[in-house]
Amino acid sequence: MNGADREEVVVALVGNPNVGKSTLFNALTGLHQHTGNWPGKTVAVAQGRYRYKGRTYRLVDLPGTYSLRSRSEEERITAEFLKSCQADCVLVLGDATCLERNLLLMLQVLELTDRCVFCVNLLDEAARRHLSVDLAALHLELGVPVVGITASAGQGLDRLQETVRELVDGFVPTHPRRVIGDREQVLAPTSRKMTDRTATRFVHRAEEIAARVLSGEQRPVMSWLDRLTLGRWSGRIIMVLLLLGVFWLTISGANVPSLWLERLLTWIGQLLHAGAAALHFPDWLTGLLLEGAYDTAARVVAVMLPPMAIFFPLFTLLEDFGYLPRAAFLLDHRFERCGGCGKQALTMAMGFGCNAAGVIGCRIITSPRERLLAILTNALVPCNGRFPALIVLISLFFSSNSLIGAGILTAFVILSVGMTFFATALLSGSVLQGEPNPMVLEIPPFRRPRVGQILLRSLLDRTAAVTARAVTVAAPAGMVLWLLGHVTVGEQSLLLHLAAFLQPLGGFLGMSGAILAAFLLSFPANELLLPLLVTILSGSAVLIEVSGEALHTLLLSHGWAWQTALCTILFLLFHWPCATTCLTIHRETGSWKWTLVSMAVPTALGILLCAALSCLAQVLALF
Amino acid sequence: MQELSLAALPLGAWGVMRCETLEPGTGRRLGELGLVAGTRVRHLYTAPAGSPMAFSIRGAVIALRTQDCRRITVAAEAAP
Repeated sequence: MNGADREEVVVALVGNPNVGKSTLFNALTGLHQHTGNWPGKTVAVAQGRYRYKGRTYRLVDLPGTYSLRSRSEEERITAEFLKSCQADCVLVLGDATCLERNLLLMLQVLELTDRCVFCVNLLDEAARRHLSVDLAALHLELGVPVVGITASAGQGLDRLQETVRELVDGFVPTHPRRVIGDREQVLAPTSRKMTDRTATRFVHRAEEIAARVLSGEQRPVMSWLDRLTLGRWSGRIIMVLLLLGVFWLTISGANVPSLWLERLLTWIGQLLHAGAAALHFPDWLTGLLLEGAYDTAARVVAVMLPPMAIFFPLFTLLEDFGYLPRAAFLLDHRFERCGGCGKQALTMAMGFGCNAAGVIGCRIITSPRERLLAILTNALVPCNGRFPALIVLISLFFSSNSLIGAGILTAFVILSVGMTFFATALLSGSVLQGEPNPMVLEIPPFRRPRVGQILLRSLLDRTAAVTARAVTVAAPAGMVLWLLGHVTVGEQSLLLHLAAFLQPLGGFLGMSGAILAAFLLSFPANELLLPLLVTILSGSAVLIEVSGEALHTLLLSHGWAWQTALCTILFLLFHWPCATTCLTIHRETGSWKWTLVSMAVPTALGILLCAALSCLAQVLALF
Repeated sequence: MQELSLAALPLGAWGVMRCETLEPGTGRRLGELGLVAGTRVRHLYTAPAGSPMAFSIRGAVIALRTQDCRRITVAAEAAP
């Protein structure tokens, strides 16, 4: 069917990882994009639209893959999409500085379809390395249109869109020069020998083409920055400094906006109260809706939104810059000795943002055993939901200076990382035994990170996500808490009964029944902890502020000392994952057994640490 | 040309891959990245801990664990 007959033109975007697909995708679609799950699968695929000369083009950003024969789920999706011929045009994006290897995928795609365009990206970087690509010669060699662009600078995009249009509308004939000519052999080779033979033919053809179109010496680069980030001491120092920097920026940047938000939401709360009174709401309804749902949701938004709006864009910057694979390179040996894999460093970093996202990110680990290890230990690093509570407790009981506070937070995070190694070693020595699997990691060159539109998009995404979570999780949880606090059995509310019931265990762990109750009730979302704690301790006061002097007074009046804060911090770092993460773990592993293990491991560590610290504090108090 | 394991390729030296004794899955993964018999590789860097090792393979930097490199045989090119 001619593409001109349909309303929308479907363009599939494929390419190796790290060639700048996302940059091109964002440059073409801007904010007109959304991420959704592929039908029937659990892999998220981004789709977006752009208009060009009166037509709408739907761009499908398929997962990066090295070959159409890859076995991982994400990479199979690319192959399946291309096989199903849903695309009117396939845009293969290649890296000019790595052309030979990128041609391997291009040659495979060529076997499947006539309608493809080879788009050579990163021409600016090639120029910097004194590499030049003869695009016309490349066009002759491949037999399909070839366009050169620099996506990050927005260069060549018009020509690309024009080429796609011409191809789809049939103005440009293509004569693909195929290597194999047999679709089935390319996608599903019948034997190991056939696989090897076709692979060799692709490699030879790619070498041949590259020799004819590339000029200038391909100098493999190991720049001074590489040596700095990978050096024995400089590498570790830089890792810690980056952590510290990200945390410090998040903490100091979130302070003032949090305060504003608190005041704004308190003011809105007062309006709502006045409105409820004017409408003669019964007391219980006001309590349930305003003190329960609204207050809790408002606290969560005020406390969560500013840090997340800063952390996630910072993390995206770091990712774009290309630093993370280098951290994985440095930490791989340690992970290998614990039975894991260097890519666990990457999933750990993702876990700092959100544990559930970290668990999903474990798909980059190909070995099932090592993947499971990464999934089970992901909740040992604190997510953004826990940072606000950590920061508040540190600043109230240890140091109010934002730099020292960030330093203490970094120290706790390093403890978390250490615990991750320990738990990985423990698990791989007991329930998940096996041989270390080979690891293959590509280290992309440092690239200038995309700022501007990407950060804006990240900000909007985060704001929407936090607000949505506040409404769907915090508000109902707040209502449940209000009910527990106002439904009395005997003389006391259910909540106080719960706190009293948990008091012995809480005391043993250096905390209190109320704190433990708050931990249990914050199972839906970690960011509920401090708001719930405030509600439990302050009764039914309309207190939105969860920072500052008011909170300090409240905690001290309930007998808090530095030991209580420390045990609370430790338990906050090491306790069961939140409900979303548990559900994600179940979905990713398909097993209740492993989900329970993922809940038990951090909790056991937390209990051990808190009990030990509590005993130690008591022993010290004797002297 | 002298044959040795990839792990023993000196820093900065070029080698041409001959064969490997890894599991089929890994071998194929390396093939997807362009590392097949006849590919030129260059040892760029070794991590301070001794593993992994970084190589230049067809223009990209690929890191492999040293113990896996021991199962890949290359022929060292004479230094220019």
